[in-house]
Amino acid sequence: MKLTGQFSSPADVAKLLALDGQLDQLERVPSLDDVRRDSSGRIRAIFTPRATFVPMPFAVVIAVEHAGQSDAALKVHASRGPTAVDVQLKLEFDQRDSGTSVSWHAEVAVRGPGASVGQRVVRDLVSAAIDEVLRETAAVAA
Amino acid sequence: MTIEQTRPDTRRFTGKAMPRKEDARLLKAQGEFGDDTPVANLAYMAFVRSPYAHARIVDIDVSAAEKVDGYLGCLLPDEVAELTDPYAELQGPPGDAEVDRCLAAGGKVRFSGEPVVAVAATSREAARDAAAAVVVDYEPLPHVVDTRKAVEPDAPLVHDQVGCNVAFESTFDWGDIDFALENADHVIEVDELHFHRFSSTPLECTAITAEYDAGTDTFTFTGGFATPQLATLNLAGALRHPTNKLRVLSKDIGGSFGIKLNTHIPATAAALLARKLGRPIRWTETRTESHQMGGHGNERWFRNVKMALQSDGTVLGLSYEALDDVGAYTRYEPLGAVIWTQVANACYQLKHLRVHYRSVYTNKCPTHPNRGYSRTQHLWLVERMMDIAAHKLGFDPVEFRMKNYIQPDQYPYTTVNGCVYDSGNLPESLRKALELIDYEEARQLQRAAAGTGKRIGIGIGSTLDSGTNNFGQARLLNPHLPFGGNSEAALVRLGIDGAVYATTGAVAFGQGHETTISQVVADELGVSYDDVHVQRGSDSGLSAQMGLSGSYASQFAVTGIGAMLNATRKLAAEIKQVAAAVLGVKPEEIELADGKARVVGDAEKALPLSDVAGIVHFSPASLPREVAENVGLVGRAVYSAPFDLPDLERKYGNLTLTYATQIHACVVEIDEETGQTTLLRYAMVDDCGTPINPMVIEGQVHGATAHGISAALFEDMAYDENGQLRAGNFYDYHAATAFDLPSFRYANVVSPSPFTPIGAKGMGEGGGAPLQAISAAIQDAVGDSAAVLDSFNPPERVLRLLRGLNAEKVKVIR
Repeated sequence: MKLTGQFSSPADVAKLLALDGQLDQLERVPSLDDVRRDSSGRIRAIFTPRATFVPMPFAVVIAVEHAGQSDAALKVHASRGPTAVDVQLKLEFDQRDSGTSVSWHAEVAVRGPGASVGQRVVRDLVSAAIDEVLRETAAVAA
Repeated sequence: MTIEQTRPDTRRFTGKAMPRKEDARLLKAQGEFGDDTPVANLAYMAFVRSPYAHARIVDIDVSAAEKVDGYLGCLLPDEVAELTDPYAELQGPPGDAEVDRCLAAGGKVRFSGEPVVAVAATSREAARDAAAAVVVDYEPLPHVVDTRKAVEPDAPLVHDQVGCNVAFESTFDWGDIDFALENADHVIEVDELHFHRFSSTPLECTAITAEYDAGTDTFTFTGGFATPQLATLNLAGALRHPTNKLRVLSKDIGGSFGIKLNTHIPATAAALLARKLGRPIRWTETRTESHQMGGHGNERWFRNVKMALQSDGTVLGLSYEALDDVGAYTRYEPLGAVIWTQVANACYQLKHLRVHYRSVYTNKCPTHPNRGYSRTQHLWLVERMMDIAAHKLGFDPVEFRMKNYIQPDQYPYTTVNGCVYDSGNLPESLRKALELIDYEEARQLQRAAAGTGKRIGIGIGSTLDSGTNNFGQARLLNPHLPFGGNSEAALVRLGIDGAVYATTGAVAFGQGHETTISQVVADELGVSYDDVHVQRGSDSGLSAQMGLSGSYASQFAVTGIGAMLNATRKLAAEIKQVAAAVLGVKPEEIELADGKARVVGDAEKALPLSDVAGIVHFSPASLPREVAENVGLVGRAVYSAPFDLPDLERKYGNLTLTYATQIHACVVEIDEETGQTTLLRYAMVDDCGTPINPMVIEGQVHGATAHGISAALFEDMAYDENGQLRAGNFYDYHAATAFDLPSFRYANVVSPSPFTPIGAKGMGEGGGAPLQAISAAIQDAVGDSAAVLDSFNPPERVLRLLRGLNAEKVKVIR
């Protein structure tokens, strides 16, 4: 499924891009825990989205495929037991005087019971989770 | 072939609608199912399942699970590979290279929902939390979910070592279909038909408790094992453990319908954890897990279907190619590749039949035997083609079937492949079914509905329930398989108080075995219905089981009851021996009636059975020595069905002992705006030979009908293009309830089987007659401008049918 969103951050693009190298900063994101970098250079963390009805911590693996002044591409894999979410995330940055306008476009594949049992709610939940973690991460950068 | 039969009409209980003995406890929620039995120090197991349809396992990290309160331990694929052997495969090369274990084998997962890790904890909730915390890294691999694509040369391989996705392939060719197709007056061709995936969704999902006694090195399993001895063999092979140190038990089981024939697979994981952790382990399947892996029925594609028939409506024969989707593993499969041949002729006088059959791997849930296993698909195809031919060539659908049905005077009827249909009266059954739906009035209703936005359709389903397998048919699959015939065992004994105790080798999961056994045993011993006590459940440790014991393939009324009758007769002979000695007459002068052993013609000279029991159990010295030494008041006997091994070269021979018939008819209303199909009238006429308990039969017919209707209209285990199951629970997989169904109209015809102990036939699977009847009714409603070529017809497909779906796929060649 394709999801999109947009938000504004007071941080400039450089600060946002710098987050990739600052695990201690990412650790401050409220929905992220146990942030670390694995041997392949990917970021691993436990992500607990607030949009779910009960706490559902997902193990996430984030690979930054491209990062530039105007856009970035991330590959994100999240899993919790039998449910997996694969996200190809594209970020577009629009630098403004007040900060950065961030547009995101996600190609999402949900697998396991999340795709079947959760098929009626998964779109909204994944959309909310992506939007939430991106906003919170951008807020940390600011 | 005939055998000596008892006469139910002279019996007090057999043939009567005796109230079910099981119902009191079941209706009061006092049954004991797999998850009910209290066990000390019990731990619980949960599986970590693959979210991918096909992927390589890169890494498994259980560290987060270890932090969950109550976590006890886990079982990983590497341990399973080290500690177990793969399950035995029935097929020969190349499919026998498949490796199947209780957790994902060979470092790969092959369907979404496949277990990868088993986690144990002190509570069910903790086990599930711990399982959710296990992180498995996967490298996704190309997958294949469409059977037709799976047989293409460049398809992703489900099992690399097999080298292709065809687990089994064979051509079945009887008669001369080429000659028939060349010379017939008419030939109908259909490009492709599809029989969809659905399951039986028993009320009780699978529940297993595995206990390991280190002192005796013995495993005890309790749960829903439909074939306990075969399960024992499978478990012994997988666990590398002696069969004499395995015991398989069950108490109440909340339904199986065939799909609980593979319980040994999760049981293997439970056993390994029980031994590893030193505690009993219980696994209770969730509904979603049941949908993911509990076993789907066979999905089948029929391609290049051709039917030859004459101008007078005589159908000569049929040919087609079958692609049977067995999912990711052959569990019980590819037996389905030969099981369908039990009903090769369906209900008709076919003379020629050729089927090129392939059992095909896909990245989907493995199929299990499922109500009408493998026959339902072929029967639906034949009936669909009969219906299409009637429509296309302008034959009256009723007369067309009547003409081609096997006629009552043709029984026993030998089919194209040597199966012997024992008895039946299909024309009479159809007449009754049409009366029940008021056929002529329904036709008037159909005409009156024209132009109102509603369409009325009338459909007929003609099907068979083949019962009591000849396991020799497995040799058609693989000549090295050591199976042939079929047998069941039973134990009947007189207890110390004169009560009768009966134990069957069969496994009850709702059919009413305690009831029907009580009926026939009470009649045979001349005691009351309530004086017979039937052991609940099964126990592989008792001698009441044979290797093929269990409940499957509609056979209990023949094999289970046959064994019980034989055992009871042995007990009766012992009782007569004792009574004769005490009363001073010969055993043949003793009859059993009214709870007594009495001298024929002299009712005053009688011995209550309690006295017989008392003498044998407590005062054997009162008896002549030769009687005391030989009488134990226990009858143990088998019933062995009279089968020969089939001719493997010709694929010819009798594969099934009995053939119950079900003729269904229905009237549907279709809303042209929404595609909604509403059943207005539904009738079923059952013929399962001499009834043992008509109420039990009618109940099973109702159940099979509800399931078939539900499958035709609501139930679809469909996968999306990513290999994800679309129907993960009952919200998306709607099993029909009373709200969805009309009041059923039921009648029966009685054609006693000449081959079975009391003329009864196995029944209850139902053969999928509702799938046929509803397909035909929808076809009747939409007319010839479209073709119903799928067994599943939800509103969206009906709407497309109303717009001409599939019309081009049906061709009248001449």
